[in-house]
Amino acid sequence: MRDLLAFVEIRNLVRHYSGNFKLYNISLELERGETLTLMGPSGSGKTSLLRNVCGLDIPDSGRITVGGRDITYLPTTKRNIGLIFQDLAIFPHMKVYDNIAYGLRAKNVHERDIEDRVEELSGMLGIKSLLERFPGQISGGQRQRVALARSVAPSPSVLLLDEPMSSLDMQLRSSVRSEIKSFAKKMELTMIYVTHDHNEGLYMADKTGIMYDGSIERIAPPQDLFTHPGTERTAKFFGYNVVTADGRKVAFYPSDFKVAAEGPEMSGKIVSIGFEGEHDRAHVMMDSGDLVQLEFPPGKYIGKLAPGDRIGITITRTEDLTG
Amino acid sequence: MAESAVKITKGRNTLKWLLLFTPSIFIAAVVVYPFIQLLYSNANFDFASQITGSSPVAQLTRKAIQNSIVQGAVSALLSFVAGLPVGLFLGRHTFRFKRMVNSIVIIPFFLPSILVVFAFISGFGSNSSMAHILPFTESASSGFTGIIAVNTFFNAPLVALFTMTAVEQSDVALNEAAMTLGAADVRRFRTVWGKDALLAASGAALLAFTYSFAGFAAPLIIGGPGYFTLDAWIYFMVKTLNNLQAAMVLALIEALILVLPALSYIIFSSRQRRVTGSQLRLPVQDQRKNGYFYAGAAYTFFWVVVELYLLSSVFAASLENSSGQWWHFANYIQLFGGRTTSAIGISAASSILNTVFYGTMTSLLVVTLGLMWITGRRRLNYKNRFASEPLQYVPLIISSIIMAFSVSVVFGVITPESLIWVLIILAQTSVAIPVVLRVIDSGFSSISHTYTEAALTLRGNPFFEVEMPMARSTFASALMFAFAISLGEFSATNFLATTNYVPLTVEMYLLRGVRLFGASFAAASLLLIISIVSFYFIQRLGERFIGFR
Repeated sequence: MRDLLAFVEIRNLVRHYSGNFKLYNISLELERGETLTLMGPSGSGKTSLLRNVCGLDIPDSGRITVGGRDITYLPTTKRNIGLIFQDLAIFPHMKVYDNIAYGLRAKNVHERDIEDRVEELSGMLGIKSLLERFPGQISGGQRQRVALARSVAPSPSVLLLDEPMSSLDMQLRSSVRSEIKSFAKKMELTMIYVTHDHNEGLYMADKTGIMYDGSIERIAPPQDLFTHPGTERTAKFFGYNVVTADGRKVAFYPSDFKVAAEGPEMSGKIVSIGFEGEHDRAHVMMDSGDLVQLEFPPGKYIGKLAPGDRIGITITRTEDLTG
Repeated sequence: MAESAVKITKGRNTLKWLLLFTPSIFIAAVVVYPFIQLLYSNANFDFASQITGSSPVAQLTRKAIQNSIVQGAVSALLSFVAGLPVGLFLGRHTFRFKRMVNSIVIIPFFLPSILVVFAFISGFGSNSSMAHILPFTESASSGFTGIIAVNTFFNAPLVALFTMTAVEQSDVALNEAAMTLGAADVRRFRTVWGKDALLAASGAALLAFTYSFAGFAAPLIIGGPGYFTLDAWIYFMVKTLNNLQAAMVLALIEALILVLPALSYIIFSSRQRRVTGSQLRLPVQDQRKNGYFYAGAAYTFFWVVVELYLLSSVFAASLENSSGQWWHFANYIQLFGGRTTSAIGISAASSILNTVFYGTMTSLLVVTLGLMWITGRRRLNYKNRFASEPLQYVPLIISSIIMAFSVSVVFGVITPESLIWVLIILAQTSVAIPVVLRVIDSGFSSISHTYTEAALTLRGNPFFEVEMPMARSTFASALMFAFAISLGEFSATNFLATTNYVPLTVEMYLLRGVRLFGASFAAASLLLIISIVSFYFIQRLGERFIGFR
């Protein structure tokens, strides 16, 4: 593949927005060909950070470099950074072919080379037969692939993806994310991928960052971040239960416990219980006042436990939390 | 490096701010500055005594204020009452030929006001067949009742249009939620879609008040001095009595009074819900043919019949010769003949050319201003309408006649006679700005910002490659709207135009003044044809635009 993908460095980026929101002291590094996923709750600043990287917003201070080139104040059109929007923003008045060719035409690439590039990308993404159609005539998953092809066609240094799969159903989402990941590896794309779905974020990532209130709390390999969430809010974001035990906050995953008939480590009262397919799920109000979720083997306790019953558990794996 | 980059970024932003405020700067230069300059240069007038004194001018001023307020209020009220049922019916129900009925109902608002006056003269005047059959209808062609009838006929379609649009765009999900909760028709009207409709209709009634308060053609032609509005008296004071100071006091009074309805209109329109994607999936429409449907259909049918009668009466009058015989083209021959040219100083062909020229130039200028404004707003993602838009509404406060008066006094002295057409185009553009910019706004607001940003990240030109193609129908509609407004603008044009620069509207008025009634109806018919053709294109392109969304 061509040597166009670059190393990304953001240093101390600050940007104030109206309504007291700000991106504050953002720093991150990303190697060529890597994927960084940025996760966090709605309103944490993930999209705002992407907008600063691609130049749709300009930071108040700080520095963004790509491949050693300072792009902090460059206009969007001169950054060579691709962005896939949450709503995909495929131009409805252009055919699929013209959508994919758009960025190449803007760069005054020869029409013959544009044809070759569109052919190559549409072939790789399985949308060759759709090139003469309008976006309104293709499905959600196909639109996703068109958006990917359009953003990749001009060979951007970095590709930014802003929750690109939020409009897809669960099943399609799973297959499309697999396609994007293998496509990105094949094309050696450097990507920053924003999502609030932690399964998707962990799956796509070489590195994972978690954001709250306009700051990045931590960047780490996905396994490391998931198994050692470190803080209460990150643990809760990944679906952990957070409880107070012996005066300290600890996190445990809903499946990391055993029902203890005698001498339980913790006990509480069942609020609700139901069958979820892969397992049964119960919400339990612990005596400590913490509401936790517990996952049981499927069918094992349905009919035996009911709301209002008391249950004692022993936690099999806990993670200490610092904040 | 960083500092120069910041400067470049700021420079780019300055350009966007400039684009955002271009129409406001235009209005400030063409409307506000001349008006303030006029007031300042005549600062020694006695404002209080002209209102409260006992001189003939003071009595006349009080009468003019009273006429304007009464005509504005009664016309607004009747327009609301007459237009609301039509708007509710058309917004709420679907039926065959609805599109055609919509078009016919809305037509009068797009017609030149002087043409509507001519329609009432020909349709209900003493020589009309209607006056022979139903003598009481003659009162609709003269005096106070005539003025009110003309104003209502002109403005009720605006109320119907606003109401219909509001009903069609009201929140489908809320309506369906109310239905599932058991809310009956009246309750849903009261709590869901009716609120939008009433709000929109009230906004339109405020505009109707403004237009009728500053009415000019009807009081001048069929009212007479006893019913002159402030606008009509300003014209009379300047053109006939040459009493600039008295005219200026009237202008100031009118502007001060119109601040309130104009502000109320801005607040009303800002309170109307913005349409989002989900709300566009289906209009809140009732498929049932119940009592509401038949009552609405009967009323709308009556309205359409009255309209068609009035418009056809203009054609009929143009084809009737002085002996009362029909299907003669003597009036058209007279219109294009030498007698008419020598009587008013300009040939009919020249005034048609002037009409088309003003229409073309005005539409190009106002749409260019609108596109600059919308581009600035989109690039800055600027949402504070109260900071960026109030000046655009000033032409609602400073009426056309005052605008023309100010422009002629301030710019007239530095404008040679051969360039009077420039002042006419500037005045017509100012009149068109409040309407045309709203058309452009509604069209562009349906284009997601992410399309623009996607084009930017792909190094493209978002304006020419994305926004303009996506809003091409809006662009065309805006051009047509501006053309129609230019075509119909009578007050300012009549004030400013010298003999060589007279368009058809003014020619109609002049022909009536020299008692060439047949020729004036022939001119009115030609103007009606041009208006209907331009309206047809607005409708066609407007529908394509909505369909595109």
